[in-house]
Amino acid sequence: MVELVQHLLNGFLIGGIYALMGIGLTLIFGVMNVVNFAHGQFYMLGAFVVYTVFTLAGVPYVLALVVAAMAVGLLGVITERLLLRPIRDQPADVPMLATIGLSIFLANMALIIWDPTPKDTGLPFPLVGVKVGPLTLTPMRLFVLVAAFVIIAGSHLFLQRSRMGKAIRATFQDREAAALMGVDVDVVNMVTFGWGAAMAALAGGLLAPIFQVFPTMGAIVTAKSFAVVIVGGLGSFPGAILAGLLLGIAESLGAGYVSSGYRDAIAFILIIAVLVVRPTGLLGNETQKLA
Amino acid sequence: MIQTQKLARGLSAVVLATSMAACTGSPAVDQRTAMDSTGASGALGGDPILFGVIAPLTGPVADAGAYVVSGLTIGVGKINAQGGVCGRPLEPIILDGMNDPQESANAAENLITREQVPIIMGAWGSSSTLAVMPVMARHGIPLVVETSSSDKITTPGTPGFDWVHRISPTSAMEAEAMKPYLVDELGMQRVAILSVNNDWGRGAGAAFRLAIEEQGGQIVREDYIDQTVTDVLPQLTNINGSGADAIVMTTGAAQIATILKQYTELGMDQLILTTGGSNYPVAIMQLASPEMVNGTYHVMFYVPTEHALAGDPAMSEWYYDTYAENGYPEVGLGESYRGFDAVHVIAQAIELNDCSLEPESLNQALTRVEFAGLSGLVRFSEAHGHQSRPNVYLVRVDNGELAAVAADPPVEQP
Repeated sequence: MVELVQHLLNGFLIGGIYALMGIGLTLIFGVMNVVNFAHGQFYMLGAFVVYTVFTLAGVPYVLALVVAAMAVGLLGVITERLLLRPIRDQPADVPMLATIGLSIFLANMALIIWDPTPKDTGLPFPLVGVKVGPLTLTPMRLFVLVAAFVIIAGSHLFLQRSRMGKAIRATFQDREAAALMGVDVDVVNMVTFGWGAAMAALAGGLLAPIFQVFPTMGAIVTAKSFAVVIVGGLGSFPGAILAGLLLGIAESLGAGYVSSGYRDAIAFILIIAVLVVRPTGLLGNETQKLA
Repeated sequence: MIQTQKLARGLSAVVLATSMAACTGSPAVDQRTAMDSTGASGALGGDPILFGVIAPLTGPVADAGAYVVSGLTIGVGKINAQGGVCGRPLEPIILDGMNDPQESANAAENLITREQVPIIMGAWGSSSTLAVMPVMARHGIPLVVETSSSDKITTPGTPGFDWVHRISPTSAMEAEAMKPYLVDELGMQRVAILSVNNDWGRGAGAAFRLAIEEQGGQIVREDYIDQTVTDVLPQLTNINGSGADAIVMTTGAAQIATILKQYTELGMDQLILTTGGSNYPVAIMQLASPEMVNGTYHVMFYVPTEHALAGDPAMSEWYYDTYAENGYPEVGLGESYRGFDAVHVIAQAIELNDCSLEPESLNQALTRVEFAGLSGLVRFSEAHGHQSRPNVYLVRVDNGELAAVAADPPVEQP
């Protein structure tokens, strides 16, 4: 029983990060109709910026996270402007191929800049576990969990309350109608892609002290993010949160009780299972709304 | 607008072209001209003697591949500075196998058919080496294995067995050498195995299971994780609940460091033993912390700080200094020796073959090599003349310092 609760707790912790990744990806898909294969590389770059700013330059960790979000968000804005906007009206496979190329380009650039040796960022918070009854939780993981949900809540508020958030939601529902109502769709796309990239960077920066930082760390994360988006429903903000948590818990229980070797397969089994029962994803529907 | 679109298409093409170049089997690193940092290949006469190298230069174990290449570079530089091989400079052509079986097999095909090398060193991971071996057999080109430890590689009947000579020990050799210590000395009674899910990790898991059970110990859990896995809390939670008093880990230093971080998170106290030779404790300490590695045990084949244990202590000392002078990262020292020893084996085989690069006789010449290297005496006397038996050490880390607590063969006390 104790093990089960510990597995659920572990799954919940990693699920928060999956949700963060999924939200960024689902926003980009929902608003821009772009399948972003470089999402994991933005995650990787976020981790490397934290390594550079926090570990090498000695800037406080929380500030380093902000720098990572801003730097990678800016890269996302530039990517949208120079790479994606000019091919926006092309068939969906054109921007998809462009992001595949971008992902390998970014991984190789990181290889050149930071070399292939894995990096340790050091710890901003203690990693030694605190016993809560029979369970173990560390201040570092707790910070990651709280930060992930603060970022998610902040994003939700931004979408619901701000003028730009409303413009994003309007563009999501009907790009042409939004444009006719005076929404600058180009700016919306730029902000959305930058925002999605920044969220991936925050996820990378949050996990960097727990794991290691290396140029190819984004590849598996991209696959997991797609799993979250598909399971949650393409373009669904709450769906991404639900699917992220579900995936984290399913992986934790699967690795704990079924087989470690098939852990990564669990995400894809989950996709198949959800698509068979509910082809639009858990919270997706024909007229999806960013809510 | 049209111009902007053209710009974007151009940018996309550049991005894709870069990507495709990274994906194909074209040389990710071609060090034909990179050998003059320690050597003097330019002063030698004759055409260079080319040989192939397959190492993971990208992917999750790219760091290990880079370390092996750094040792190889020092070795080539030393050989060339001392007059080369048969008066000709040695020159490696290094391709990236990504530690992926398919990519490694493609790299072998490229090296043999395009570069026409007479001999290859590689391909780091056991699964990759096993994928390369049939390619070597099909073309009749010898392969010198510097890292892989799956027993299958030097088991007669494995495709390509006839063309392979291995310097690194098998997992069975490691386990056999450690057998007297595991249960009786270290007190490993109830053991969990947590290893990477490939031929290397599974082979080591099976070998250590056998050794521990033969000594009266018990395996209480076996978990195999992908080499890209970073979150091991589920596995560690299970191990913690299984009543295990020790964990045997076989994977790369980076993944071991990740596991140790999460082991610390859960407040675990099981004895840790890492195996496989890609577990240099200094690298683990840099990626985790010295405190997390304190009191852990590691099976190693070369202890860089204990020169007296090497096959050639003077060479070990020279290597240690040269490695530092070249500015290579200290974390790679424990893995780099493999490339150094392997290139000397290749050089000696060519000389024993009367300077002929004819692959079949070169393969025969390998069986006559005797090289006192960093990892002990390299001599292919086991597994039907295809397997060397390097030294195996049990190393304990205390306060950031490495100390060999046992060795096979036993070190003679002065």
